[in-house]
Amino acid sequence: MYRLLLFFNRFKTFFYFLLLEILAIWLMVVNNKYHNTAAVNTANYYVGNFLTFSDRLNDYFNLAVVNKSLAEENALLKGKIEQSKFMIDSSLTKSTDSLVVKKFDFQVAKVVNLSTMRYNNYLTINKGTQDGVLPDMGVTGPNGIVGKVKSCSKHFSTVYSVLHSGMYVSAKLQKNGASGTIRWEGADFREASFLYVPRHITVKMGDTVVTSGYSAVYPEGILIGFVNKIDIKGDETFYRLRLRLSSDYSRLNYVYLVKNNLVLQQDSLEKLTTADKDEKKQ
Amino acid sequence: MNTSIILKHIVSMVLLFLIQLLLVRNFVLFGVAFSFVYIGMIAFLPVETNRSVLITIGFVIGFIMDLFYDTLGMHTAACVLVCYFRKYLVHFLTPTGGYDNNISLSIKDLGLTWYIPYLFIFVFIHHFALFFLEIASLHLFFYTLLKIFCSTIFTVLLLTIGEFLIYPPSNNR
Repeated sequence: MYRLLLFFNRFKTFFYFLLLEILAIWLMVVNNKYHNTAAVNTANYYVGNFLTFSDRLNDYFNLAVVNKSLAEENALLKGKIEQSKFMIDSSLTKSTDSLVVKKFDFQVAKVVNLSTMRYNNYLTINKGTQDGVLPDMGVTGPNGIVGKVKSCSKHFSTVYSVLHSGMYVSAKLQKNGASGTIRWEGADFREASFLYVPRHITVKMGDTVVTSGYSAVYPEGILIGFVNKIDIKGDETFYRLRLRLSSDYSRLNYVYLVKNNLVLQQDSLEKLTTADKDEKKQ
Repeated sequence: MNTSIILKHIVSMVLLFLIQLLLVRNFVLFGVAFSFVYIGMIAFLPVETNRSVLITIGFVIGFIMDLFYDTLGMHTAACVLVCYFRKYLVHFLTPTGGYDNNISLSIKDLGLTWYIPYLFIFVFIHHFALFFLEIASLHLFFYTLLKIFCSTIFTVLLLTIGEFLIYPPSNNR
């Protein structure tokens, strides 16, 4: 017994080191597994406020860029209004029935912190549970898709960027609806892969890729990027497509949170079918 | 260790903390060179610091950095690791005649020929652990190695420049 104690005493620093190291790695695992750990990331009240302060210092330097992107988006939206007016006039019957549900609501948020160069990138935005933000809500920017909410505190939220090794976005080709999955490989923040597009589809350089709307996170048709590399080996089933992402992730300033009003219905229905499958397996 | 030395360490810690989070956090050179100058908070602590205390300080500093980087556990693990190995590193690089009492791990006291290898190895261990924990696999292996090397050089460079700014090299040395 005495020798055992002596042994422990001799290596006590090592055991202490081991304990802290295991604790740190446990924290890493927990952080990857469970989403809502807002107290220990940038959504934390004090950290969020510090980053807001830091962001304000930077704001003056990119005012011109922000103005330009907002003006461009304004122009785009104005164009859409004109189109929709034309459609209403021509159809004449526009129902304002309660049967028509507004599926998506948008809310603006300011980016207070972002990264693009790391292997797993995140953003921090200045809206939290107090503003109705919830984990798993979609986030889009002026030039297309941005990411998905990871965790929220009262005033801040952290967002998985599309530039995160764990992010898979359901996407489709705008021209013919062929669907696939967007994934980022971890190196260049301007490019991503578009996986699982079968070879019988014709794909051309510059084709537009948008969100598919199959998941409850994003509305259909939000811009993701443009095909800039097409490759398929002899007997492969799927193309290897590369996209040039439409959003410039290094310059995001204002983003929109997408709230799906029907998410509960869709999710509970999808859960039913998966539960059904599990039952049949047993 | 007297109060003025402790005070000096606390001031330099606060400075490095602010520089890291307000300024250096936004620097990425050529997409591969990151800088984590906050590691200087641990690297320059006195030689005679108790190892358990050192590891605890490393844990706390790493944890705070994780809060700001959204990487819970990664900086913590890397800092604890490098704190544990610091004793061996300091021992390995003992100058002839050993360390004087109350010596500070700086260019002023130990010269560039000691300072650069020490800091380089120290920062390298930290960055190596950090980047490989981040990617958590061996794909992009060489790209990660490139990132580690460039980042190590960048961090060492910034810390050395900082050191020269605080203690300008005098001619009578």
